[in-house]
Amino acid sequence: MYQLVLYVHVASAMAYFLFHGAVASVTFALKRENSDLQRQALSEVLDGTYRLAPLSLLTLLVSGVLLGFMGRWWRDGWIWASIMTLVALAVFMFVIGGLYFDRRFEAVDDQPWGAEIPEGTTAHRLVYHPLMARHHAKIPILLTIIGVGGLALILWLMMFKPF
Amino acid sequence: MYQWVVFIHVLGVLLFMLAHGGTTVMTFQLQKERDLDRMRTLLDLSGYSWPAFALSFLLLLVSGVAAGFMGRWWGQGWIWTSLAILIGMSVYMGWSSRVHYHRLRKVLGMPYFEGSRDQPALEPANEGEILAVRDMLRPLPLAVLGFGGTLVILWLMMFKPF
Repeated sequence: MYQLVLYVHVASAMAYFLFHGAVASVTFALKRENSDLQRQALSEVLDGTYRLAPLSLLTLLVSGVLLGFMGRWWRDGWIWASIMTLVALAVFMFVIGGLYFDRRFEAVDDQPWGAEIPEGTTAHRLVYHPLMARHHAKIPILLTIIGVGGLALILWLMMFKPF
Repeated sequence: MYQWVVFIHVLGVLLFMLAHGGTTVMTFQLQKERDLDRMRTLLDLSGYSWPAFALSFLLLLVSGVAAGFMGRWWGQGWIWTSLAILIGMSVYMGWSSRVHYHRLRKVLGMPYFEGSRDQPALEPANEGEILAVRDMLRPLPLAVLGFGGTLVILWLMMFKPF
């Protein structure tokens, strides 16, 4: 039974990355597509992806938690480290990725892509810092490096269970 | 060492899924699209991930073959079946891409691939012809074959039934 749940966990991870790959492709495409029409087409690709991806993510999380109980892994450190890495990745991508999409899509839709950060707060000053604006075009690369690095770390923790 | 090679193989698979995602979603979006410029944007979307697609495929294939030797799996049927499914899927999808998606690129007046090499853009065809070519796309069977085949390979690799 454990192996079957593990199978579901790995299969849902693959499905999730398939959907997330569309997001990654759009992130890089936005650097080059400058017309409103082109950005609108890309925005609709994201709409379709965000409708389907949550199911695979939910399956991934539920099967992962179930495996933790079935394998009695909750006393080990690696599983908690994996969850914390996943949460940190999700927050990072939501904030930075959302900011990037907000700026690139602002002419074609009024949908808020990221967290709405109130003006005057420290978070707002950090996110809208001139340094961020100057390096805006590098955000897709940054997201990719952090994302793939985080994925490799979680995979290493799960396969090698070092602590 | 064997576990590290398997780690690289699994990472390669996940990166491959990430690289292939843009193409997958694009094929469904394209079916609904009527605006020609938006179609061009969508067709170019898969092109952005081509380097990552090729590298991750190479990574998963080489590490998979290496793991096969290190684990002495080549005497078993599941690994040959997995390889046959992977090659079969790749050949079919490559053929489908040339017949359908590169034909659409051609009539849209975009650079396309034909006769084993890249071809420069031609004059776009009329809208009726473009939409007729677009209407011949069948993304759902491709997606079912692709992901279904992947699930079968995953099952073979995890359970090693024969």
